[in-house]
Amino acid sequence: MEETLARLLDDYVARRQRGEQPSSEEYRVSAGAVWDEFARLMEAESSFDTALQEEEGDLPRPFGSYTLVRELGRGAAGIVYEARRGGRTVALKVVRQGFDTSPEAITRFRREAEACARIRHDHVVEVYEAGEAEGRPFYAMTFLDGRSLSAIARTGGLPSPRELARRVARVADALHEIHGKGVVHRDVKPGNIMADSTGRMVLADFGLARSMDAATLTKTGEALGTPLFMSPEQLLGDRGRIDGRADVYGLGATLYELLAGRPLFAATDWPELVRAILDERPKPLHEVAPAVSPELSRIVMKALEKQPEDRYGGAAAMRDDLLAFADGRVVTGRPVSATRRRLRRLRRRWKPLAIAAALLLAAGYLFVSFFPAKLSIQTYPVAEVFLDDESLGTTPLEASVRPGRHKLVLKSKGFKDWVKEDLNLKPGGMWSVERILIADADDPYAQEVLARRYDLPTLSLGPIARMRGNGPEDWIEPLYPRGKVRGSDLADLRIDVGREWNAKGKLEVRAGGKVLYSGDFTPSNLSTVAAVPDAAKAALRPGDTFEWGFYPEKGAPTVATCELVADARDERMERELADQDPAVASLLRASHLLKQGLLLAAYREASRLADEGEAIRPALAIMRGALEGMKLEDTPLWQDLIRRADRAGG
Amino acid sequence: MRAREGDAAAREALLERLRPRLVLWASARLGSELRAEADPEDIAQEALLAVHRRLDEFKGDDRRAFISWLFTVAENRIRDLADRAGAQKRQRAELPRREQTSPSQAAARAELARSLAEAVARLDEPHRAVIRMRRFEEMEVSEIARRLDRSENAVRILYCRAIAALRDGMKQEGRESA
Repeated sequence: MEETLARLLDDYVARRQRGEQPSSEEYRVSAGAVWDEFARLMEAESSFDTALQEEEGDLPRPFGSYTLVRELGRGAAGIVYEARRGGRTVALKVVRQGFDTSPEAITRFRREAEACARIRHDHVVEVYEAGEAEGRPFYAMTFLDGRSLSAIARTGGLPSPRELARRVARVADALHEIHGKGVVHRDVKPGNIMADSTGRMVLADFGLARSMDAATLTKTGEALGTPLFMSPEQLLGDRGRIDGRADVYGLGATLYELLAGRPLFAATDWPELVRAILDERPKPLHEVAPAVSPELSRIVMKALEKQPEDRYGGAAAMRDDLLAFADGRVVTGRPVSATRRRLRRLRRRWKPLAIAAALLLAAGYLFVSFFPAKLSIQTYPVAEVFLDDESLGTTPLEASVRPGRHKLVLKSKGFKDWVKEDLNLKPGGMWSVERILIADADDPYAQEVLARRYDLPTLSLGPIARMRGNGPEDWIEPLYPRGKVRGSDLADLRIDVGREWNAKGKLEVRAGGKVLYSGDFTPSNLSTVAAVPDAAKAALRPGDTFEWGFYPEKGAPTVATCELVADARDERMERELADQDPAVASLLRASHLLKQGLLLAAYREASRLADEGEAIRPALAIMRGALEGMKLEDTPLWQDLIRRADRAGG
Repeated sequence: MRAREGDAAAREALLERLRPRLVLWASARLGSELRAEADPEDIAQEALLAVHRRLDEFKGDDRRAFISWLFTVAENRIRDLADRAGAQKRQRAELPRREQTSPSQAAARAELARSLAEAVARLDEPHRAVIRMRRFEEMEVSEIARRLDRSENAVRILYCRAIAALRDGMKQEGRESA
């Protein structure tokens, strides 16, 4: 359980840091049983954002003709502020900066405002005005000094079931009024019902309200509600059948969760939840929550019937039953009889098939639009990403894909395919991978790519001599590190003048035209080695290019140019690589040994590799470098090398 | 990161955006004792200035490295202060909390920031460290794992526990001041 929490929290933080604005609600389904704990954690987590408010700037600040006073909350698309104009305090919902401000989104936003503005009801948030300021659409509505039912439920401040029924009846009445105006709220849930200090409950956030008579804006399922409170017909996108009874269901699901203290369905992933909403009869409320009377349970369960025609005919009927229950009168709502249910099932023998088909169709867009899973893939070298045999593009790649099980293949020429069968992507989850593909050790192309990556000068037999400083006449160990270096390589900024120990001069590090370190170096027969002190290295930052080397009093300097790269990832990738393929790891090791001037060790490592018949050409190249370095060109070892090279065709 | 691509204005803007974060961290790190010695705002300002003066030197290729650098500078300054205070072992009556003079406006936010800083200050070192790395310096889990020599999973769990401890700390303070 803790692991789930940790994973979700981590995903949230990572998304925040990528500049996304995830809302905690998105994690509801993935959180499942740990949702409450997760929500509590999120309160602490989000206090960082509130306290820092890096993106929104200081409040109060003017916004159009209003003054924004403080932030009240955040949804997926908008931030709600407490705002003032004249003496009036309002709640201002402002579309987020950087959020979708496409014409469709703005139209949707305006429609939401229009739908609200047509409604006057004590238990519905009143919309005063819709407009635009600083390029961001907003609308002003009643400022409610209260908290949502989901927040109240979390902290345990709900009234008794009877009282709750009485208050929720008012919300049902509000829904009845709304439906009369041709609007379906479509997103009735605890988070959208606000209770003020007197306990009055007010329906808020018509995020999804759409006029029933208006042509639907999107067919892509762009605007959809929180699935846990969503009726089966909404889930199936069965537009023709969505009417006020969808909100009756939403209100039923709301009551169920509030009274039972747990969600209607305890699904742990998306497909399971979809199946449950469509097909699973929820446990009767009074069995889950013994404190709830069977009458109230019956009302809730009737509202939760799968078929709209089995629910209350409208919100008014549900209101009446809730009030009757609250007053201790007889509740009229009867559950659908078992016989009728059976008959219906016979009549609709085709139904399961239709549902399955619809589910498949719906699932496609539901998954993607609700909780797409994110893939983030980086590879070395660049690879093409195939998901279920379909190319998604080349790395680095970020993509939103449908959750579920997939087969992932990374392909790159000269490298072995990297295959992940049965990759299970969680809805709303993130799956990221950084891979170094395993080189086909004898593929020349792969060797070249790897050589570039690791700046291995030794991967081909030809240019080995180039790493030899200025040639054998003023013999100095070839300078390493050179090229792209990592922070840990800086420890090796030292030179050994070897036999030429009478070569006086300076050891220097230069960057950007400045000399960062300059030290006299007078080798003696006690020491032929000089190192750059740590203090001089501290000034180097990732991204810096610097030169370092030995500047002798006489003759040409021996200098290496380096670029310091951030090292965490490199090291990890290297480790990962070593884990994957012993041959390539061994090759790397040999190459490092060679760079460090541990010539005999490099020779041994490389010859072992060559003996095993792996990566023969680069192994031979390293052996040659080592033998040359040791001045062993006229020895049997050299003859052996040449024989092996002949055999390898080099 | 835009800040790297030679756009000085973007870099300055980034620095400015990081200021609240730095102040919050500085006041958490200073603790009530050292806060008498130094103002977190000053620490943040110093670090920002120091970094600003050396903006050109920074050629790192990501935002995180940049933030890391900034925090290192601030951290060094705080350590200096702590060392000095420790060496002198001065006894000092605790100064009253700095007056929040701002009108009701930003007061709520400032209050939250203060209580957050207090709660961070009270955390155990491993928790505080992981919050600093993950939340303030925006390090990746993998890097934190490497630094702490733990598995990535362990880091995630550590962070989760740190947040839980933070929440408990803030709650507790809420009760104390109520």
